[in-house]
Amino acid sequence: MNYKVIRSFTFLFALLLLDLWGGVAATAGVLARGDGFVIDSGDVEAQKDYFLEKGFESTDQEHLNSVLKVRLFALEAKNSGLISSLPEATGTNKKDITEEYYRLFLLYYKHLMETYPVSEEAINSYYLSYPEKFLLNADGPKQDIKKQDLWVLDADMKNWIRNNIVLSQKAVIIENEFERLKTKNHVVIEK
Amino acid sequence: MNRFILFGHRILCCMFVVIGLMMGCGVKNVQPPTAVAAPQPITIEIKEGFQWPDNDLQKRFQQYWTLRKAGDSTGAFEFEAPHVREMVIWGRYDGFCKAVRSDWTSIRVEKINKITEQLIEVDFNMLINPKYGTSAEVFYRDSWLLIPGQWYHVLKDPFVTGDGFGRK
Repeated sequence: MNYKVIRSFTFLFALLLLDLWGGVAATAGVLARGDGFVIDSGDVEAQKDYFLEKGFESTDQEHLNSVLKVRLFALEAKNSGLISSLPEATGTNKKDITEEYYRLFLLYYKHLMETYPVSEEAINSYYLSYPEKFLLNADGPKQDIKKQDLWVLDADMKNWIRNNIVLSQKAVIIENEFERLKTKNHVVIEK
Repeated sequence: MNRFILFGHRILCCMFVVIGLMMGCGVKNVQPPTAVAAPQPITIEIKEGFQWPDNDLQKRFQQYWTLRKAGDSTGAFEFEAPHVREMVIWGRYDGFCKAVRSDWTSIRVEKINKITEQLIEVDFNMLINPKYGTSAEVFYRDSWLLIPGQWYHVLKDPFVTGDGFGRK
């Protein structure tokens, strides 16, 4: 009888230890978490290697920030219906999915830039302010330029100007979106 | 027991004092802030024989440079052309306005270059306060754009607007 009780307690104790060990192992490398995702040291190391191969070096904090940005943009790509699912690691090595996440980051970035609002007024104002950029003849007059000396402000031209305006704000657009997504996904960075 | 009641009474009195002070401060904050005096308009001289092509342009030019001299970047920003307002990163613009020298005393407009029907350049000199007995002048070229009924300043600084193409 005593033997059975001792055996049961030992078994329960072993289970408890295993559970604790598993919990500790799962949280030990966690660097940041948000709604439905966790970023651990493995993710950061994998991205560090990925960018190192491309010749980029950064601090650990910058790498974590970068992993977070890539993850949130990829997540938003899924939430906004650009993709149907997110990549999943097949083993402990996360290098294989790092490239895939980065591809999704770029996909959402492109979407962000394409949909960023630029007013018609701003496009028109840019066109009128830089007539020298729109000269039909590059060697044409630089003063007293007439309307007929310029390329027509058609859809293609408008798109070109729009892209220029958006590109000038690229860094701000990305950072604002990153901040928005951090709030939206309740991101917490572990101390 | 009496000591306890006395202690409670004192706490209550302190709370009333604190609440009263807070309410007093609150009332003070509700009062409208004192109106900030508009900056004194800057002096604009013109070269002999010079004529502004448009009175509104002259007015807007003076208002803009008055705000710039006063370091009022928020006010000056309202004068910038629509594309500038959408391209510029506010912090960069604010820093730019504050970094540009303001030790000038007046402006002397030299000439107008008509680029198109709606775009003109104003060439002018800023007369710098003589620190060491000699006065100095700094040349500036401003672009102004007429968009239905209103003149706008066109900031053409690739470091501020982020327009990598800049001027040709």
